Amino acid sequence: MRLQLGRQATLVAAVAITLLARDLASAADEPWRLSSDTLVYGDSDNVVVVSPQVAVRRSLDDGGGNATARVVVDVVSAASVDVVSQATNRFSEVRTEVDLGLAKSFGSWLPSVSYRHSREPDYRSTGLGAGLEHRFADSDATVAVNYDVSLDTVGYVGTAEDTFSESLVSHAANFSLTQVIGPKALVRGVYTLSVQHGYLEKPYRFVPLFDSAGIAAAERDGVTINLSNFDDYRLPERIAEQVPDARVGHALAVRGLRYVEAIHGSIHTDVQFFADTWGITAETIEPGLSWSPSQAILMGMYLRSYLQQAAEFWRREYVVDDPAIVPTWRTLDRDLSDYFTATLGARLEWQRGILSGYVDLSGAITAYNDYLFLNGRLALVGQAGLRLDL
Amino acid sequence: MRVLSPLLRCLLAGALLGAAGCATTKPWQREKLAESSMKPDGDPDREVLRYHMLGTREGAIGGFGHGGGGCGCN
Repeated sequence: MRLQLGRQATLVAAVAITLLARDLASAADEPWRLSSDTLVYGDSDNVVVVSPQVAVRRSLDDGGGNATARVVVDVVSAASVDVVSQATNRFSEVRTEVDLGLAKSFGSWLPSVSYRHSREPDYRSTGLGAGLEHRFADSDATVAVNYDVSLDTVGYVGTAEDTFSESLVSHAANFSLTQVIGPKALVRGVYTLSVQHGYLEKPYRFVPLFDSAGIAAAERDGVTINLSNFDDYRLPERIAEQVPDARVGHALAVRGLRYVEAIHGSIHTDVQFFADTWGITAETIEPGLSWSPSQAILMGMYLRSYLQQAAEFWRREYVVDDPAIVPTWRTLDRDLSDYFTATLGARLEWQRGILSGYVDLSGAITAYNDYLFLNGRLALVGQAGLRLDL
Repeated sequence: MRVLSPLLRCLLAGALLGAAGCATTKPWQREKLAESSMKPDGDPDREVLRYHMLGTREGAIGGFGHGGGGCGCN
């Protein structure tokens, strides 16, 4: 019996040392990772976005410490209903973002800091972040808290900043707990408190106004007011978009992961709820599965459904009795409306020596229930990346 | 109330202990947890691009992936 226990202990120690040695070797032997990614987005609303990104990551220790630098460029070309409904033509612009991050472990603690700066012709943003992560219960549990602040300046293309410039401050605090539940499952919960204060409008959006006579005329003509005919029924006035200066949001998300022997992979589900002080609520569900047909290949499929209920002040048509008395809050931002998006995606990851990569393709269909200019949108997204571990 | 309070305290303590992983997983039981398909966070450089794109298309803020602020596209 004593001998058996001794053998078991030796075996356990050998396995533990092997696993530990492998982890140490991975951090020590391949401390550098060079990454290159590109995301291409296109939709039926005439929006095309190409986002190339390069990143370098230097591992600093085996507790998750690293230094990172990342540059991403968004090249946007759009002739969406947002644009053409304002009687303007297709626009193109470039956004450049630089991110820097540093994390260093001290035992089971992992503090981190981050910096971000992005710039586009009419928008500038600087972000600072700090976080602290702690592993405990033999690394079965990890708690993390992060805080980010973003200081943004909103401008107007072709207009000097001293003529038009508005500010927006966004705070986000994240609290998360990741818990291993046995040898084949884990769960993560995240709560986010977001607070935005400042200019939350788009300076290019002017909201059409209708009166009851215009609405009655459309009914009499037997038509639904939309992008092609709204000019026929609206009042001459179009007023600048205006939304509350403060928005506080609460998001609660849970992710479950379980290993499934039969597919040599895992199933996962994300469930997320969101509510804010504007009256917007949203529910997201993202189930998926990943499996490994060979050691070097990982394949995956996922679904994502996003259902949103509109802000309290959202209206398909803003109807007024007197154009001089307009609603305090009015918007044309469809991201504040009732809509549903369903996404289906597939991913392939591969590794060969120090080189690895992935391809991710997805299609998304969106149905807007109550948006004047658009009933739906079909989007295709392709993303690919290469990794070089040195 | 006085009778219930200790019970409630025990339940709360039990829930906290459960959440804190009172039954730990041994190193030799972690083989499956170490599989790449079991990573709770995907590749960070891949995910940041994906969630940025989602953040510009979805009105919600926070949870997994995307926070507020950072560009004028939302």
